[in-house]
Amino acid sequence: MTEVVHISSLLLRADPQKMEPILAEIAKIGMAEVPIADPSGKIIVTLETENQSEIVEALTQLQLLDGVVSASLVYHQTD
Amino acid sequence: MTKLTRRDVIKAQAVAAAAAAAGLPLSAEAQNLVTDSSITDLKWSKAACRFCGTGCSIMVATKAGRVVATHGDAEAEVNRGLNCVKGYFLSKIMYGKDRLTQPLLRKTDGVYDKEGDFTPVSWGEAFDIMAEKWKATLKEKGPTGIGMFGSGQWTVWEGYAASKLMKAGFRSNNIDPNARHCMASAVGGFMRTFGIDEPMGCYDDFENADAFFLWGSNMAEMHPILWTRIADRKFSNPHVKVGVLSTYKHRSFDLADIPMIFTPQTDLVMLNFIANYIIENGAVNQDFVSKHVNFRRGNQDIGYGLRPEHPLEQAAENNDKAGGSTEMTFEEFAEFVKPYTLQYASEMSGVPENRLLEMAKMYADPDVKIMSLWTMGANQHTRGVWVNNMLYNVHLLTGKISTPGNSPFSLTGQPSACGTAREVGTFSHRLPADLVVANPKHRAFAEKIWKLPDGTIPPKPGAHAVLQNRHLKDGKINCYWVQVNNNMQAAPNMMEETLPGYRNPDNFIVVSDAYPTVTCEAADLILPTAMWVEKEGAYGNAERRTQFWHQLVDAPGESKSDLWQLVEFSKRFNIEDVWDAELLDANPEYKGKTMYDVLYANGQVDAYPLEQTSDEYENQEANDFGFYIQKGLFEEYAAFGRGHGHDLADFDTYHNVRGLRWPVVDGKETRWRFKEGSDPYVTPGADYEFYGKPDGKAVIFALPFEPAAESPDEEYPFWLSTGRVLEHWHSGSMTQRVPELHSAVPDALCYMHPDDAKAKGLRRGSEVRVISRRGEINLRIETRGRNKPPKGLVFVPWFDAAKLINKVTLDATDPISKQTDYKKCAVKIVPLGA
Repeated sequence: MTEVVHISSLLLRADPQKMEPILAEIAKIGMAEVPIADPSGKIIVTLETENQSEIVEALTQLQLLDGVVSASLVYHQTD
Repeated sequence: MTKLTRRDVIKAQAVAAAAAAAGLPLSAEAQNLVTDSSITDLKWSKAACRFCGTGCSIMVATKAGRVVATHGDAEAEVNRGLNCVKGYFLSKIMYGKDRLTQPLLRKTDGVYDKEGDFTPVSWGEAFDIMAEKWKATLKEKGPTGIGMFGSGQWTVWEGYAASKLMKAGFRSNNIDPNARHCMASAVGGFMRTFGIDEPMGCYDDFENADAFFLWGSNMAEMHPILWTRIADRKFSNPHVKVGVLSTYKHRSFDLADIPMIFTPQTDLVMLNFIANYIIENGAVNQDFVSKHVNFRRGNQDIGYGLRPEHPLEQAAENNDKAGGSTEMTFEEFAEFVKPYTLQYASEMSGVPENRLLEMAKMYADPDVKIMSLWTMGANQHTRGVWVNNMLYNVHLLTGKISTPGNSPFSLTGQPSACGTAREVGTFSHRLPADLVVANPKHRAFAEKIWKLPDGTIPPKPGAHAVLQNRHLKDGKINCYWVQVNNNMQAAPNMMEETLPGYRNPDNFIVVSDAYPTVTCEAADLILPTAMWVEKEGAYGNAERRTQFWHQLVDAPGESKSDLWQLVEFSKRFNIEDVWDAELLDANPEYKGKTMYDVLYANGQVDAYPLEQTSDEYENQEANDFGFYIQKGLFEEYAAFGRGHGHDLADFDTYHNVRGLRWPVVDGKETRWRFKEGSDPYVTPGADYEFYGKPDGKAVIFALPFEPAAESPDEEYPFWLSTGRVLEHWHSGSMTQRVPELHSAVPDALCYMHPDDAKAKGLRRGSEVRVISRRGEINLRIETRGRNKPPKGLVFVPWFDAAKLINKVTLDATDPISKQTDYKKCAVKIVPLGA
């Protein structure tokens, strides 16, 4: 299983007033990238990792960030 | 341009899917990448998510016989390309290391022994011992000696095949789903108020409402996709308000304009206050009420569904006629709710007056479209049917119902709680399409569709979930089959009622599951079971939407679907084994047939040949039985509802659409029932028609506040409420298979107010014993978690097999719905190691 890479994308629905601090917090999560952040409060995050427990930790972290109302998974693939 | 790797392409697809779901534009370069999907070589098919009642459609990718990727289905109206974080685990739930792959029977020295060790056996041997035990019990005790327990995770045809096997084959109504624990009170509320089950509105209400009130529901964690729709509505329409009512603070409060923490059981008071406020402020929609509503006074003092010898039952006046009611006038109703003043409601509930008033004003304002949402907080309640009735009261008084955005909406927890448990009628008192066994006309109708002799279906409702456990313990049910659920973990008062029944030496317990749950461990025979996309399936979600999927991968080892198990087992019985001589002598043409012949090879279920199955997908059951069994079962089942307000489309349609909301009439789904123009069943000119009731009128019920079965006292000073956390769902038998998910919340915690902890000299992380009059468990204290109880209440999630909170909970039920109240009992907290 060590060769398997997990690639996933999430859509965060955030309070538009709190975009800046939220993006700063996401930047601290190593495997997370933000290809699109829309001022309306929609943030797309991709996660790529070989370590499955890290992904789950990141998913939980992202959902619980102050100002994030919901985090939805859109795409997930193991490769 | 630099060379692109496979993984760049996958990543670009992931971003593109997310951008599409968010309605955000994507650069042209990125779009080009996505079209080059040939690199990844995946076969994509649709399926309904199997985790909750929302009914998200998921695109599932397979490669070399395994599920390797999923994404939210952009074509699905429910989730519009999104999927909640639980969806991350969809591609993994089938691949846990401890997956069961062969039948296991308890044996000592090669023969069955209840105290023996689990030993691999063939399906033939498994069915041999089952049939032997079933036949012996039928001979000794008759049909009430056997029982079956299923769930809202059965597919539509599995639930249908099971219900038919029990009610028509074995002639026993002792079949119930674990949905009994989840939304029996919601069903009771619908039947009492409207005479027909399930919400009148649909998810389109989310984009039309001006205000949302959550009555005890934590949608942010439990229904995240629907919560996203509320958040979208609120952020893009600043006038939209959200009110959240709960007995403790949780994640949904982040979006609340009107947060309300209330004392357990006082939802009854607050709802009567709103009704009173509407009346006193002249906000009753007189035209609507006079044309479409009746008023009734419900029986009071109805007990708590405990064993009859319990002092609370001895004291209750109306526990034998809990659902009874008498006529009353609007004026009498107004008088009835008059004592429920703002001051009284605030005193009782602990919610400040200004917040209650703000909420009541919105319910009363004819220009505010309101959606009320609830799940377990209202349903797992010894007055759960009442709470449901009272929620409808406030919508009916103002006529805010059945139009876009005006929607009292009962959410569900299981993927097919509606589609299977309710619509198919796998409850001990029900038949398909809202029919009930106690009604002779309903039985006759069912017997006609099933091509069975008059009098086949027994008239007396069978044992419901909690009663089944009591009957097992008392030795009244001796053969018991559990499918698709983990009842040992979910049933209340486990040590006193559940486990003794499973281990009673007189009983033979069979559990079908994909994984070794605690229920499996308590069984005598375990049957390895195919799950989700390992079989062709159908679910029905909370907004009446029926959705299908194909078998996408093969089940591991010798695992077989619940459907295969049920139907194959029926071959083991001659009809003479299960029907008495009286019935057979009157109907000799059934003699000499097997139960399989009578129930499934009846010219209807086997009417569709194998050629009609898809060329693209496998279908294990159809291949085994030699006909398209799913289609046959579905079409026979659909005959119950067509023309009776429950119309389903034809079978093949569902494989091609992202679900349809019943009634489906002339190929068109119905979004708002009971309203002329959107529901074809409403008589032209009627405007509204609640056609579940003979006179077309819904009922407003006068119901009082009555206390909980057990409240805190000096000895047991804390309320205990149980519930779920985001990282887990249901009892965790699927999600805990995924190691990383399990480690995310390794142990169940006892959430407590910091002041309460301090008063006991406890700190975050301290170990305590939570003790009730029934049992105790050790837990660690959490004072800073995202669930924040008020003083005097502790909250414990119930997913963790190692920390079974149901040793502590009380098996009090709603006397009308028989649903257990997991939300309220009294406990004391004793520090350990002090």
